[in-house]
Amino acid sequence: MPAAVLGEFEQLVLFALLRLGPDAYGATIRREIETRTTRSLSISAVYTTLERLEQKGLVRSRIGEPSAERGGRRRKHFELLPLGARSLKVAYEAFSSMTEGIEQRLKAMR
Amino acid sequence: MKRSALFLIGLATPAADREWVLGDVVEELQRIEQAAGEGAARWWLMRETLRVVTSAWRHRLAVRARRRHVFAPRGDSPMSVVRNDFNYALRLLKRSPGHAAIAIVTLAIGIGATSAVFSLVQGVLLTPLPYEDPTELVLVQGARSDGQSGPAQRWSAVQWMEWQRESKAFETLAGYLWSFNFLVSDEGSESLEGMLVSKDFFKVLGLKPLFGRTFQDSETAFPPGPVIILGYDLWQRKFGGDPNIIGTPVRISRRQTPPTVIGVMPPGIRFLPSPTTAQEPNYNVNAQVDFWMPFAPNTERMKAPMWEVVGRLRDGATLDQAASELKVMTARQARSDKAFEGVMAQVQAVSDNFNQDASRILLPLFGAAALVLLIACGNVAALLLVRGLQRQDEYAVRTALGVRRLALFRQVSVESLLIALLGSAFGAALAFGIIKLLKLIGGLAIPRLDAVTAVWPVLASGLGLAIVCALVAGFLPALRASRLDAMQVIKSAGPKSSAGRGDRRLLRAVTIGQIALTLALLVGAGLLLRTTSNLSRVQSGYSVEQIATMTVTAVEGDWNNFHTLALERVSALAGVQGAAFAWGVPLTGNNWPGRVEVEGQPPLTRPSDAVSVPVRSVTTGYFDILGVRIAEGRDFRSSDANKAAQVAIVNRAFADRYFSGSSAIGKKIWQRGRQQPPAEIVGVVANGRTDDLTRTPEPELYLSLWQASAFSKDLVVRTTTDPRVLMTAIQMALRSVAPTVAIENVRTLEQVRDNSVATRTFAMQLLVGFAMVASVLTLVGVYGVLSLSIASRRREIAVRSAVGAQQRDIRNLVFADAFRLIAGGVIAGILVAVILSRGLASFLFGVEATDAPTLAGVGLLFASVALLACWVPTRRAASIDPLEALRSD
Repeated sequence: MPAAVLGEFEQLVLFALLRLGPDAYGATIRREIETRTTRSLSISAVYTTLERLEQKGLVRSRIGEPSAERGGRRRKHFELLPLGARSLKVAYEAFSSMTEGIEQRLKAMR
Repeated sequence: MKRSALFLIGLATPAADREWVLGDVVEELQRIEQAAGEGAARWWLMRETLRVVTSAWRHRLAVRARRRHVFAPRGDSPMSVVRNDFNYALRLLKRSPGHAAIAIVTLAIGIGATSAVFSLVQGVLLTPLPYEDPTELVLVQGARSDGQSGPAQRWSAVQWMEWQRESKAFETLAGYLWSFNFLVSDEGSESLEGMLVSKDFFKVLGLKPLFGRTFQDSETAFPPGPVIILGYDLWQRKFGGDPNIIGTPVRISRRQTPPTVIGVMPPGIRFLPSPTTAQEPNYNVNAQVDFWMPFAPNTERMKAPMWEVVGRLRDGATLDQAASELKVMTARQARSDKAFEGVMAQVQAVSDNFNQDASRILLPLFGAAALVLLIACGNVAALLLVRGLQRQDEYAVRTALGVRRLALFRQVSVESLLIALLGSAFGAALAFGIIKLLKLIGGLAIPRLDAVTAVWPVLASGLGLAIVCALVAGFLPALRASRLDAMQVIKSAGPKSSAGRGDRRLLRAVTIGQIALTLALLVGAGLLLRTTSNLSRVQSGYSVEQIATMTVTAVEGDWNNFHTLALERVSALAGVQGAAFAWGVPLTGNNWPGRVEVEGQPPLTRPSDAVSVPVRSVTTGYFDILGVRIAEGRDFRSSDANKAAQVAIVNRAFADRYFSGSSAIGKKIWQRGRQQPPAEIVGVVANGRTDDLTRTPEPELYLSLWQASAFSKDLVVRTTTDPRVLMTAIQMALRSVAPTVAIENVRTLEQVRDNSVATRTFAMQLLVGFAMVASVLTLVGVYGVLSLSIASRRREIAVRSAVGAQQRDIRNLVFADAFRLIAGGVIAGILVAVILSRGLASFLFGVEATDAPTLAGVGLLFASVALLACWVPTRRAASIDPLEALRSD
């Protein structure tokens, strides 16, 4: 299957999955993006995107065990599928080749 | 806060994701609470809720998209069950839009009418008065203690001040008086309505100024200080809401020193009723108060009856306690002083007094609107029942498949609730229109209509009524569906759109109920129509055509000069036949409740025994202008002037009552006791219904305006053409005499007459409207039930004609069926009408509430129209082809 073209927020979510590994579920994904990009998200925006990614076959989910800190509610864990990893790599490569040699100028920008 | 936020988030999240989304939110909330404290967490949760709720729609779409690919078990929470029911109901409605539209429009009409009238009830009757704890406020009014009717009586300062000192039931009492004045302006002065109030008035009512202050003790001592408090409306209207108004003097009439503004009251404050001034030409107790000025008891005239009295009950004190306490005190006062004899105190809650007029008209109208709603509900119930019959198979199959009865009941209830909600949405829109219309035509009939600002009442009552409708209209169909015998239905698998005997009986009962209620409305409309027609034919005793009237007040300058010149100039206008000034033009409610002593009657022993007659004061030619015949003696002359001997004219009823057998001419009348010079009767005029078209003429007394002058009074002008054409010219002529003259209530005498019966006209228009709508709804219902009945009896009819019944026989058969239905409804309706029409008794004139011709006429009329509506179904029945009908089964 060819790599999928990713939207900007989809990329952020996939990066977060990559970083978090087995720890990735709604709250941690949101926190990861919020702290790194300093933008605030709604939890349902995260799930909307994950829903779409799952439907495209880029990620898959599994239901975890209930925990007390969540008031006995279960977690929904997400993990990157090979197609998702490949799509993210394609996106990253496009990004880095476009920024190659202009990193300093980009950083100097206000 | 936390729980409701989580509830909202849960609601906005699809059931499939609810658990993890809520879990994530809770987890994050705890983390933030530990890291940054409770405040930050709360703030975050608030924003999160907002974000989730606003993005709910997108999330939902994403979940739905996924469902198409992946099977996931559906959530089965109560919310999602109801949601499924709603979606199902919506699909059903879309499948038969015609049916749905009829039901929705029917309910919209019922709900629109009812919530429009309800919002009037809410705005006019249920909104609390703008005073602190208004339920504790009590009016103390004076009435004759011998039980005879007479004009309202005022109290003396000595009396109410003693109550104030000694009463245990009252916290405080205060005196007040309605008053009017004029804002003097060279472009024409404007009338103001205000209150003269004693020291504690604002304390009793719990009124605080918007800004500025109320009266100080020095200002409410005698003589009262030259200060004034403005009403919000006047302040905005005439002073442009100037915030620096405090301290500026106001130019008003009849005050040597222009009073200084010391405060402005908050908006919406209305008068306390002041019955002893109700006959003044400018009196309008339902207006907003323009001004308050201090009023102090004159230390030399403490026993003069000058005051209306209002009191505030102590906590826990009742109206009865106050009444019995006052009874004791007034009795003691009457024993100690002859001047106080014969008057007793009547207490009444201020709010009761306020709502007397409005509830008299609004409650019957609300009842009528509710009837329309009930009829609409009946139609929708019938419609739903028929739909239910058509879907019997579906219900049966579902029951057979294991759907529980309760689930079926809920499903059908949700359907009717959906229809009711849609109906109420349209109904609310309709209600706003109806309210606009009511405000337009009901301004004179319903007091304080300007206070109705209906948005919430309409929406709230619309929603409430929708639920009521869903219950009323949906209960029977839902019950029917849930109690269906599945086996029976599946076995018989009969043709759709047919109904068993039990169902038909139910439908007929609904229709009979509708006919009965409609008939009640029609009878009410009929009675009011007859009242209006009786009123238009009543012999008033004077003519109202081609007469212009306007209230004229010379606020400055010499009174005699102005009025003499004004009459000269107006009479000289082209098109004017005659002009006169009059205090007490017919049907304006304006007259002076005079207490007089009449020659031949025993001298008074106490003041309250004086003969009370409405006194009017007119200039020469007034009787000619109104077409009132002078039966005996003469009209007033210009020589009956201020200094000349007092003269009076009485009407025939007066002469008959006090001088029967002899001529009234030359007899004497005393107005201020027999020690003062009397007025001599110089003429007797024909009777007229001057006070009220519905009341037979009573004794009346007329004085010469030059001898009994009045500040504000009406100019009456007889014109040769349409009086409206001359209005401007007349006003210019008056202004040419004195530019500051105040001219108000410019109208024709015909308008005055129409206004005097405005409440009845309004009730009539509304009831006729309601009755028409109800009739159409009911006729549709009758038509529907009959059609269904014929469809269900197709086979029976076919068999009958196969064995030899003629078309005529079939027609008779169906017609008899229809006739029984309609006759049953009409008879029930007449019974209902007899009971309900008593609510209209106070509006009726010349016709009894149980008027047999009206009842019979309306019953016959409705029956014949309803039978006409049966014509089409009857013909359809007669034209059933037996072969085809039998073959199709």
